Amino acid sequence: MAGITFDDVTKTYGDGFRAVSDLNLEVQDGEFVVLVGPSGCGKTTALRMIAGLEEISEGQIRIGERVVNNLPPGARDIAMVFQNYALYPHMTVAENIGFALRMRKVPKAEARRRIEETARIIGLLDHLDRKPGQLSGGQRQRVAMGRAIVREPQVFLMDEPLSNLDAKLRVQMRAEISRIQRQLAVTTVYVTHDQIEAMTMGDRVAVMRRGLLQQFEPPQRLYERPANLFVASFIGSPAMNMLEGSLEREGDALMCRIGTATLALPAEVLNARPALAREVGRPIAVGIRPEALDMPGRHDGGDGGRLRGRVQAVEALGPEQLVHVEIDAEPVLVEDVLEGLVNPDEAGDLVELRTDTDGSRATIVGRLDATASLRPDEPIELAVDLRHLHFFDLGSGEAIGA
Amino acid sequence: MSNSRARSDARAVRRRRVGSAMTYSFLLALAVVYIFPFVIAVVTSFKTEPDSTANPLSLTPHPATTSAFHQLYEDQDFPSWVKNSLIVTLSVTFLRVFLDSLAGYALARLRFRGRGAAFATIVAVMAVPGVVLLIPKFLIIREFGMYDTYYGMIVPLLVDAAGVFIMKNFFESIPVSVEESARIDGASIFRIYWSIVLPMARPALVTIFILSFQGSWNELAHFIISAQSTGLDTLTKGVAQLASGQLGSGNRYPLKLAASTLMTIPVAVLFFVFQRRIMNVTAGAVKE
Repeated sequence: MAGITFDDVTKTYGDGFRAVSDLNLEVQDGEFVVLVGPSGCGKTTALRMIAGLEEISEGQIRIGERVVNNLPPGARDIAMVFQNYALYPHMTVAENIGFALRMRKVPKAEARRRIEETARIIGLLDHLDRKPGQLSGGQRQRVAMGRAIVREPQVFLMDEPLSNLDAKLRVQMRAEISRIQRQLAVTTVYVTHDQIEAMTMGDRVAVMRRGLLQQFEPPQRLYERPANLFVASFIGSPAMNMLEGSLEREGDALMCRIGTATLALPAEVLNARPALAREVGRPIAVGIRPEALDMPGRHDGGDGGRLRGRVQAVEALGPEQLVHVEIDAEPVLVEDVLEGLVNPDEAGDLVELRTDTDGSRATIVGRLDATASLRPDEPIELAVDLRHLHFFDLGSGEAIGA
Repeated sequence: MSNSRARSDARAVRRRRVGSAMTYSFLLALAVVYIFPFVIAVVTSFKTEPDSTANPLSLTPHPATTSAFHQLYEDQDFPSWVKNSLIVTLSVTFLRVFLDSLAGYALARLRFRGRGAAFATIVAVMAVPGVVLLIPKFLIIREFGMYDTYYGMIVPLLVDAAGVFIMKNFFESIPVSVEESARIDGASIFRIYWSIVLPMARPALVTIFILSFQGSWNELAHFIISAQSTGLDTLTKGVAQLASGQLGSGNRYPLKLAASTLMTIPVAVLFFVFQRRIMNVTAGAVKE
């Protein structure tokens, strides 16, 4: 087993395009790290550089103590699972799994034993003589996993291994991969564009955008303390509501104005983020997670702020419901936010969609429990959990005092 | 209302029937035009000399005889022609499949200086008529001391531009990730070519195999310029002499057509055998 280290790694293509810029990342031995970001963020390029399928333009990648920049893929002691599985169609499941052992001249009996043990782990012991064409999508995915497992490599690399499965199977395989990884304790780098996969599977998650690492932390921390507007918008579903606001001082207290509403920030918020005091009088972005909104009078003790608006739509999810509310406030529609919500090509469409109604009205989403009875077009008042607000600099996009 | 609709439905059905009857008769006529000469050749090879001259187009030999085949075997150098054709054709076919696929793989996947120029040259060669190259080929063969040897007959046919072109295109259609996966598994470039890519390329290999076999089996011009001794005559050269050379005295239709009929058998068998082998072998490699 071994960790992986990126030291100022840059990948520049022939046409000058920088897919990855100055990436510094340290994956611990046995850790499950997820690289996540919208398409074109450089996550797959980073993975392929570890594998040796992509040359490193600048910097250094180490697996364990060994610098692997100039090692061919076969000499790096890694195994990779591809998005499209990349099985050998003319070989049986056993031959597919055993190919790497054959290349390494592992004795036949030993190879047979390892193939069978692997087949047991992935649950395909009865299918060893089938060809990939005779297997279902989920089984093919398992064969691809098996091919990686049998190697007993230092590192697993996985490039969106679940994105070709249907939704239900994906959830199941997510748990399966996590289980296998924990059982084998092999250092794993997993690439996905799906933030839910990232949050549920990773010990730590590296969020990337346009070739730059945005934040690298455990999922919960990423969720609770996003470092910037992009991460805040990208992580979490439904996404964080992002509204333009400003801070004003009233005596000792700090007031946050959002549209026509005024929220009195509790002292503990200011204590946790002293830097907020310096932002007084300047426009900032205020982020509110859907679960930080609630029907008034339940948990807020009546001292919190309120946002008033009109219900646009209600989505019942069973135990809870999502309510879309139009309020008097300006939405934050800078690129950082939009790219976090959708992929860059579609960002323009989203701006149109959001500003179609009126520039000074924003639609926010609240996650409420199923008991509240809500109807479209009715006025609504939502209580805001003020201790869970997020504040960002509108210019730099960085979190304030995080 | 419903009555008139029923009537118009019936009319449409009738129209469709008439239409398909016409299509089929046209196709049938076309098939006959293509098959007829071959049938005549086979039938005539079983006729006697006088019968074939008197009734050249009759479809029943009177009387039926295999004497033309016996004659071929006894009088002529037929067995030697078959031997030469087999040696040349099998060498050319197997080596061509191998070399075409190697070159195609290199052009499809390996990065090397001059790759674009090499491919452009190959495409350009495809545009040059073979006849133009006959004399230069002869000069080169003679210069290399290969004239009137098997080498001279085989080596110049070993690689063909069209085959390289087909293989390159096919290899490019194989998902790169399959090869990348093999690289990570520790396979060398040649191992990837041999154990992974080649088995996946079976449809293309079969195509090249058939084209090469048929091409070299039926080749005539090249054998004329590359050898002259009768001991190196191939079937095509021999049959051509039967039809036009010193042996061409008299009609001798049964003899000539018996030779032609025998000559078509291997290619026909090849087509029937391989036609079923051409299938999709990449099923299950990657999720599309």
